[in-house]
Amino acid sequence: MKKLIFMCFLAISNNLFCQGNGNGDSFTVTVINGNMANITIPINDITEAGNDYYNKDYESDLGSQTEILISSTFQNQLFTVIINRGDDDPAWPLGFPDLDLQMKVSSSSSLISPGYQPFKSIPYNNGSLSQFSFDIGGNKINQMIVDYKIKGISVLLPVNTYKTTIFFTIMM
Amino acid sequence: MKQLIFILCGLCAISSYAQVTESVTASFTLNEVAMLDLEPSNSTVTLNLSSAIEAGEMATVETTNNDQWINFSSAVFENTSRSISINIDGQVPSGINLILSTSKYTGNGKGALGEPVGNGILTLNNTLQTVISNIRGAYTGDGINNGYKLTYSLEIYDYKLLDFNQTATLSITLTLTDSI
Repeated sequence: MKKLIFMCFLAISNNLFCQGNGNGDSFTVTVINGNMANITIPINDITEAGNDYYNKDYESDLGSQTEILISSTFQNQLFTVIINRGDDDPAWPLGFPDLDLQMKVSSSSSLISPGYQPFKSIPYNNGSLSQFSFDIGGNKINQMIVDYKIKGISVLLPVNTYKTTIFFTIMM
Repeated sequence: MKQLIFILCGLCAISSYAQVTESVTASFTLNEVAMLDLEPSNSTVTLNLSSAIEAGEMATVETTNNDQWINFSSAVFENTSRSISINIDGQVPSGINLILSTSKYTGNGKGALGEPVGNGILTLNNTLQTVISNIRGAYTGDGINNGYKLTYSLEIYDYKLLDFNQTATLSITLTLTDSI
């Protein structure tokens, strides 16, 4: 019985230090924010007066990606990544149903599963986009790349810089 | 002892669900758009007065290609609008007025396309006059039969001033501007 209690204490002490808040060594998450704010829709995409934007969809380029690095000392630990969108941003234009923010996740790591994702919509009302689950090996830094896409761009939208907050929750 | 084990196992389960939440701001920027075009492009409108055939009849106006279409694309800040103004460069021959008639919008466009000012009929002169107002985020569609049709005509206001040897070439300028 004493052995059992001792094992339980060990398990607790291990897990309490895997919060990934930067102080623990076991589970660290670093988010490198791609500066999507630099995506300015080019007006020369309107070929002639009288037309709307020729392209309605714009994808983030390499410099506008979000990079997430997960460093872990755990062996074969399953991490789950949940991506949500904040609904507290008043600047997002309402009343334009065609306007859609999308994202996809990919990784150079062969461990990521299911790997490359097609673009998926991130609903505005704090809806859960999807859960990306993958196994991570010990003592490795695993990289996750997030690309963004804006769909439904139009001159009908008021001129502005539109912002929204994307939350990444990494769980184990 | 059993209670202690239960508590410890519970703590194990709770602590196993460690999680980290980070956030990023995603944004995109839309710029102002102000594009104006006339269709058919660079076309010349020719208006002639022909003398009466029978004594006592009035002179008649002959026109060639007197229709043009305004196409525009406009993206503006919230709560702002634009208007299209017109003026002529040159002197209209004495005794006649150059009249512009602006139709209501037709076409494949979308958005806040504005409306012609007043009844859509203006006597053109050298001062800037508003043709269409209250344009916000909108596009008219491209080409003829999209946008606002402009029809030019002549109106004789004083016969005694008419000089049938007189010819004038006028330049007409349309400007899309932010409304103040």
